Amino acid sequence: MDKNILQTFSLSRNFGELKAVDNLDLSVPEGSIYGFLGPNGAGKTTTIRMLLGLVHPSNGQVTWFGQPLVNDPIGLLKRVGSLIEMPSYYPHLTGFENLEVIRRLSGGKKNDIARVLHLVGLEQDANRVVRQYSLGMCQRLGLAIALLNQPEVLVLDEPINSLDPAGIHEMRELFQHLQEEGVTLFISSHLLSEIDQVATMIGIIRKGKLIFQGTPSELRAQYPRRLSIGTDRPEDVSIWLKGQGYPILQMNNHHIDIPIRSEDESAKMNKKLSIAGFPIFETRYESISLEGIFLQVTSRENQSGE
Amino acid sequence: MKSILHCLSAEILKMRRTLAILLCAIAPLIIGAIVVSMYLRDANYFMNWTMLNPWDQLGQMCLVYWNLLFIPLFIPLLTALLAQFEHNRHNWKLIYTLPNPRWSTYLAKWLVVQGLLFGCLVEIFVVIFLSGKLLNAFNSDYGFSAAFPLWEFCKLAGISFLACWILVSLHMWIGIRFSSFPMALGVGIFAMVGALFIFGQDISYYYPWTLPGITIVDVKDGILHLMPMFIGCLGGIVLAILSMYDLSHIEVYQ
Repeated sequence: MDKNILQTFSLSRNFGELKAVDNLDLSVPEGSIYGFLGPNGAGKTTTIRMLLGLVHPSNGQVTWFGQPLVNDPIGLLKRVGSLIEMPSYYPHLTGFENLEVIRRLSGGKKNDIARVLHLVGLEQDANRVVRQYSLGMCQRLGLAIALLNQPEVLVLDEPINSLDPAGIHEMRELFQHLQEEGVTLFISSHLLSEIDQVATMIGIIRKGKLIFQGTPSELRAQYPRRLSIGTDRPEDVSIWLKGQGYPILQMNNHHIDIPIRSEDESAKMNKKLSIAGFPIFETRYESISLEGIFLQVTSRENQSGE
Repeated sequence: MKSILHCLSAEILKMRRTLAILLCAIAPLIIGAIVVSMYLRDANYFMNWTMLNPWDQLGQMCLVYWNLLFIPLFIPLLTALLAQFEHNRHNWKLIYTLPNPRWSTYLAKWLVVQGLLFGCLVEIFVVIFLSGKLLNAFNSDYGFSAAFPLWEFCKLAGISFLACWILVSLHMWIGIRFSSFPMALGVGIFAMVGALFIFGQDISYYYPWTLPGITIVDVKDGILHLMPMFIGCLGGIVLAILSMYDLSHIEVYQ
């Protein structure tokens, strides 16, 4: 594969007895959109803070562009833009002034401000004070700040939080546009369906450990199918399925999704459900979404950990 | 050097539409209002005051109020407000990933506070001058028709300004290190109360919150008291260096 723009080697961080990040070996190829997935408390944000030099590793190393971060943090991070959790801004200043503050701090070019305002669609509101902005607009401003210095890599922690569906769609298009321009994106998100649509590489972290790293197709190859069961008694069916050792990938009012290995296993499950006397109005044998795989991977790790 | 200029110019922009600027504009006016009202209330007392030149008397009163009562609270307030720009929206995680050494943010904020305090002193000079002229317009017996001793006031204000450095360094560190605004301000209030008890005792020469006041109050026969200035100024530089070292090594979780 392409050369790695970001790598970690046995990256670890302990908080007392707790191993928040445990021997993490990330490899982020140049030009990729890397989806960094994990449940809450998995160690995503601690990892990102170590990548950006905000938190010191207990062990291991971070390299950017092939050079250890500790050797030249200022020089290396100059080439990186970031948006971590909630966006940072000054509410008493206008959107334009916020960008001007960051431009002055980073010694960027003045016309970059107009460029990023256009990119995130905030041109019309640039002269309003930010305390009047909606959550979505603040998120866009945070992204504009991250993009200000024409970074080669963008590190985004939950970048589509607070955005409405139209905003999420625009953001997804922006990510793809940035990738086409050669920017590498490292995106941590719990909105797995969004990552699914844009990521070219995926890393899944759980309890501080990297449990998968590879392309979405490599991940899907490990978890190929799921069975969607239509029933009026989803609660009862889910209890029964769990008793049979099947993790529930997804459940709503009338459908339950479980992982299934083969068509043969699907047919057997159909038969078992009928024998158990559940009113089943539909079964669908289909490809599994990234979200489903994620739940399956993390639940498998859960079971092995217990 | 470039990074300090970058940070300083950004800090100046951040001051727009802030309470800190408003406070700096208002505080010297409050002192002027207090002093003028005292002169008007006790007119006979001040008209018959012969121990000092009327301008020296008025100027010293304003500077005593400023250095003894305002400064020990004003500096914690200003530094806490400046630090809150970053704490409020967890901006440290952004600031510290920008291409500047971490200490430059502290130094830029430190310089902005010094600039604001200097601006306040200039405004106090204007307030002293206008107060004298106003009182003279009410009654010429106040004696403010004499020449305004600008140079004397500059020397006096200069040494009290330098004596403040230790407070600026200390409170800037507290404001940045701890995200709680009440805590940062509380330290200032607590120390100010302590200063009221300590003032006048030998130990007050080593208590940062009394140093600016001593430089004004201890002027005897026109001889300036330089020791508190040196302690405040050098202590301020040492504390600023220690603060910059500490803030360069902290981890950012917010």
